[in-house]
Amino acid sequence: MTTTDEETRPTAEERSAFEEVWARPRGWRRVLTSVQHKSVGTRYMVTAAVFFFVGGVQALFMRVQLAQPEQQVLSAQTYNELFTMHGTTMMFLFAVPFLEGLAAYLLPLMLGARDMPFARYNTFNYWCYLFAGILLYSSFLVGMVPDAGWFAYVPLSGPEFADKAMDIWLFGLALAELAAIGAAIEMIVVVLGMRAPGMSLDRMPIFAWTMLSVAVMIVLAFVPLLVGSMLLELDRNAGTAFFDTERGGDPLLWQHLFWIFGHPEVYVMFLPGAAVISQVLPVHSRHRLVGYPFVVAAVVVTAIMSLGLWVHHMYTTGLPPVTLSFFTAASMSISVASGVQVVAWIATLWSGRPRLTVPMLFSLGFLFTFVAGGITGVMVASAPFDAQAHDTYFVVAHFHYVLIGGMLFPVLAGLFHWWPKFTGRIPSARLGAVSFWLTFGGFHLTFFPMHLTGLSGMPRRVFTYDATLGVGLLNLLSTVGAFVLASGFVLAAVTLLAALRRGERSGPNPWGADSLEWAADSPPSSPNFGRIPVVGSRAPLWNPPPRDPELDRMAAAFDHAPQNVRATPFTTVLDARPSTAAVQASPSIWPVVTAGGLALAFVGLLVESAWVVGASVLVIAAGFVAWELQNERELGAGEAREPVGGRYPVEAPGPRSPGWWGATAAAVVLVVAVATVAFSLLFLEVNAPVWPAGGTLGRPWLSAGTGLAVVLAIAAAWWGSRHGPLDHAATPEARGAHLTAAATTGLAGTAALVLTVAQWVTADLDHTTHAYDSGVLALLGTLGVAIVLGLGITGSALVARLTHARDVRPRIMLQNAAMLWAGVLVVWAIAWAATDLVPGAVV
Amino acid sequence: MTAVPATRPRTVRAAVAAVLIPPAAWVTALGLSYLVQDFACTAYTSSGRPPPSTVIGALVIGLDAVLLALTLAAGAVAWREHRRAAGDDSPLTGFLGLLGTALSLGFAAGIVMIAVNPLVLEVCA
Repeated sequence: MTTTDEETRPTAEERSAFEEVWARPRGWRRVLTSVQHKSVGTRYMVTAAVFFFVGGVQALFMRVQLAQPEQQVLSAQTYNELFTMHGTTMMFLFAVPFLEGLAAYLLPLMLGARDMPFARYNTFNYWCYLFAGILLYSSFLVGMVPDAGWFAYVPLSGPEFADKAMDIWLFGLALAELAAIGAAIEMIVVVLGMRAPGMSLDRMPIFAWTMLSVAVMIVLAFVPLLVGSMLLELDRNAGTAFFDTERGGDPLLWQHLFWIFGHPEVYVMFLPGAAVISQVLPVHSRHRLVGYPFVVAAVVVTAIMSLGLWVHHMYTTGLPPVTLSFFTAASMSISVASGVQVVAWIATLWSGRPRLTVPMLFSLGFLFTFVAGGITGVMVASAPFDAQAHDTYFVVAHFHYVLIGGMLFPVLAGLFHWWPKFTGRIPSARLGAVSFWLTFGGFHLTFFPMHLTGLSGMPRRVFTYDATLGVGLLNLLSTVGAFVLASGFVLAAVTLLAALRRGERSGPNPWGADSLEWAADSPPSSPNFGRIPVVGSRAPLWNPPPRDPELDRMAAAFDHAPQNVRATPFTTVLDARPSTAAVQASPSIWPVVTAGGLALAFVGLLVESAWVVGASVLVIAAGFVAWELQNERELGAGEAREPVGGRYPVEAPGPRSPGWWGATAAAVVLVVAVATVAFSLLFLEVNAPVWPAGGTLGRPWLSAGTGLAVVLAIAAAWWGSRHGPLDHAATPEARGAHLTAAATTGLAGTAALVLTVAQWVTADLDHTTHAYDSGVLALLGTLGVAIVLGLGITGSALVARLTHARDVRPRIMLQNAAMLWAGVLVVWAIAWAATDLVPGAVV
Repeated sequence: MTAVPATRPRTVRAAVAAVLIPPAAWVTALGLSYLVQDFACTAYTSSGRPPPSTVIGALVIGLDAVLLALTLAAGAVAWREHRRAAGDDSPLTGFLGLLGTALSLGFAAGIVMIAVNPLVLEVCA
């Protein structure tokens, strides 16, 4: 780390004040109020690991049942419940949350930041995830376990065939998805804006590139499932007709919505796994990653193309051949991108001096297994082959090769690699190696025979099989392998946990690694870095940065500073030049309160109690208001001594502060949500044998009035955001303008809401009669939700104006409100196009 | 006083655009190919009218050809910026140029694989 000539080192008092600001809460307060990224990341990973072992036990029960033909260890119903909960647990409660936890822990450290951008929101997401898991597993307590598979195909999951268990599944899923989308927004902002000075895009760790790509995928792909699950819930409990063929609906719509999420989900799991390998393998090969730009390109290609593969899960649903061929082409294309990464890893191994450490063993296990899974992936990407292998154990073998090979082995490589960083202790290499061989051997013994049972015609998702099928021995081998595999996982867990007490103490960088997390203490201190590191290359610990006065000034300004509020540098997107200071949240009880309120709302809906729902709404509202007030108090404290180091203001308008990125991301989420509903309506329209002739909403004045009111809200918020000085020292002068802007925006938003409700009331639509009516009302409902969110951020701007003396924070909040209202305008436009424009113009 | 934001040379903007265009073009190619072909054919079939397969096929291929040209043009710009950056000692622009070139090639191949299907298969079978 270099220093500037004029720099003065922080005094002991300043260091002490800095440590105090970043002090972790103690006792029970730590459990409920801690928001620091390492605490949240650890909780994600520990909770996910618990769910992993629960899901693993469910798999063992299933394997015991299938060990021999025609066994009765489990009933058919219990088997259905177990395979449903196994898939649900592994996908929604283990894989994605674990990787989000790993990212929450590692990204700020790797990027040289002190926390995630919205630390309280990050914590809120964790609590939502935990409550989702508790809600899903409460189904065992009440004896209503979901049994329609982790994919919940309609009509099996519809009102006709599934009981309340499906509602539990849908609400639990919705909470988990909300958490995942929130975590994605966190990842996008931290990677784009909170990198250490000098860490331009070409110097960013592959893990950060990957998590950025994955976060974009989550926003684009998880929102459709959230919308889909809401539509299914409406069908089940409100009598809508989205999936009912007799009323213009179509069960195939659920498959589209589910797999628009489901296929990217595979890459949401694989890509971070691959990124872990791209971090671990070079360190243990003692050579930089070969072909960095091409690996980045491969990650981007994989992420984008994964969004266009969903139909390859629907090859046997009767879609036209050309439709299938489009998606076969996409499925084949993506394998090339994955191949590029494999070549880069092999070249790195070839060029380096590999050490056979435990992380390296798991990395090699990944390479072997993932390539095998990729090859069978190319096979099932071909529509004719898939038609033969669909719904057989061949597919089960394929996706376990991809998911365990592509995600679980890298996770274990990563855990053994970063354990010294997490805990300050090095796990036993001997036990680690034994656990690797058990998991590797056990895995292949379990899943390789499934290729053969599948090709022999053994169907998946069936609780037993006929002895005459001739696959008894293969199934027995799979069952034995499953227990070996489980013993490997248990031993890996024991090895890691034992190291907490008995492991050899680790210095900051026991592997001689190159990325910034290894510059922090092991385990890292609460603020990660007293002095923010400066980056001059892709391997900052292998190549110390050359002196750059601008970067060094920022490092010096943040050296154990500021001391009155938590803050970290905010840098420019492309080249990570110094920009502003981002305030970081301190501990708070409100995230858990608000998430608890949300979970309570779902419980209220499940038990059909208006009182519980009403109480939950109060809890949520009170939680958000208190949360916002605490935010503004902290920012006020930050402003009291701004700018940091006399140079970096505490937040600034536009993309120079995290809030702008958050508002933009929220707007994108809204647009994706309404686009999903519009797609659904259009899909149903072209596929339904009977559709209302000339079916337009037919309320042009009300609709135009809604749009106009939203435009007015944007204009008022934007106008307000242009008033008042940004300079810290300037006298505030725009209080009146800000209050006028916030009030006008609020009134315009309220008018838009009233007009939307008026469309609903006067449209003469009955959502129970036809899918068209259901779809139109869903679009209006989505618009209503978007407007309510717009009103919420407008309220925050008003609170900011009332609580801050200076003009800058209200300016920023009004600008953020304008951004979100712009998103609402797009939502309105899409809704109008779907309800009036397209039906009037097409067919 | 605030830190002076870094300048944004035109070359960087061109390189960034060249990185963003190929993925957007591929998504558009797949999305439009699917929507135009599947939705149009299904809509005609649902309403009991014979679908104009030739027109639909030509429309899909035409759209894909335009998007392919756009992707390749982005790649050409990216390669030019990559070459320029080598002379200017601008590693970020050079990286973005190389990334854009690689993305252009990858996504162009993807668009070609989508576009050839209506040429060899019955469009509204």
